[in-house]
Amino acid sequence: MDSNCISFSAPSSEITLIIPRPKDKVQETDRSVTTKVGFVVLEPWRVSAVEVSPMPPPAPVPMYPKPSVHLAVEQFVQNVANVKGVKCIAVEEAEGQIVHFTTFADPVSEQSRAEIYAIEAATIDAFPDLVFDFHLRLASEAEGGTPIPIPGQRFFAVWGDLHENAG
Amino acid sequence: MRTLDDHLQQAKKNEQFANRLIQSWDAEFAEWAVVALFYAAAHYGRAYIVHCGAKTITNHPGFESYFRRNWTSSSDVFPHYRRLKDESERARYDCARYTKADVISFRDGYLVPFRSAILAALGR
Repeated sequence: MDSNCISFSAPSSEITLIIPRPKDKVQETDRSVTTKVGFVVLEPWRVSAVEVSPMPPPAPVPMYPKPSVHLAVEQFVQNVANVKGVKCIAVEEAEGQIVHFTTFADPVSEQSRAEIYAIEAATIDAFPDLVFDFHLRLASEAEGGTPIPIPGQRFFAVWGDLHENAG
Repeated sequence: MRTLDDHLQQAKKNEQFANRLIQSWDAEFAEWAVVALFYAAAHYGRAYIVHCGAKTITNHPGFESYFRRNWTSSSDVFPHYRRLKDESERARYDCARYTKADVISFRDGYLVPFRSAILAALGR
């Protein structure tokens, strides 16, 4: 061990503290003195908790999915569900960044289309930390009856069958 | 890095291509006119993004989010872009069929006002 260090053992905590001895306090030992002192029983070293300032926040790690994605999905679905003709909404979060919303409706009137586009625009405005990709599809033109999800987090909100009342 | 003029030039080319398909009308290829209309809008929109000095768009699907957040004009052109995008996807993926009247209505009803608003915002 470095001769400039003092070691304390703390039996109760099994922690060893090594404290550097300040160099300016290192002096030649007067060996004649050692004969004049006796043994001293050391009390167990007591370690107490010290409150330290908090660590800086870690670098941002993308949560998957972000909490705001759930909120965006909830609000979008609640609003679009009220538009006449909407059958199903598929929400897929992929490519790490983009939230894809696909609304299936039938029929799609000019009125319902305008309402859905307005809800999409409001969603973009309400969640500036998210990037969206919106699609509006005619349910009767969709393949099969069940959306095939892309990999990643996804949500579906379905009202009845995708092709109910379609065609 | 593409400039504002690069995107405007590409937009005009795509619009011209759509117009040629409309003029020479062949119903078998009508969907490509719809696709060309959308890609004209996409490049007009990107010209505006360049004009704004916004960050490079790294995800094309997210374009509408970037565009809307940067669009400061009072005219609401988001529905025009969305309609052209949806019709383009119908044409490409859902085998939609279009009449000449359909395509002209998309051009005049959505691309023309979208383009006019963009050019006005660009001072052109």
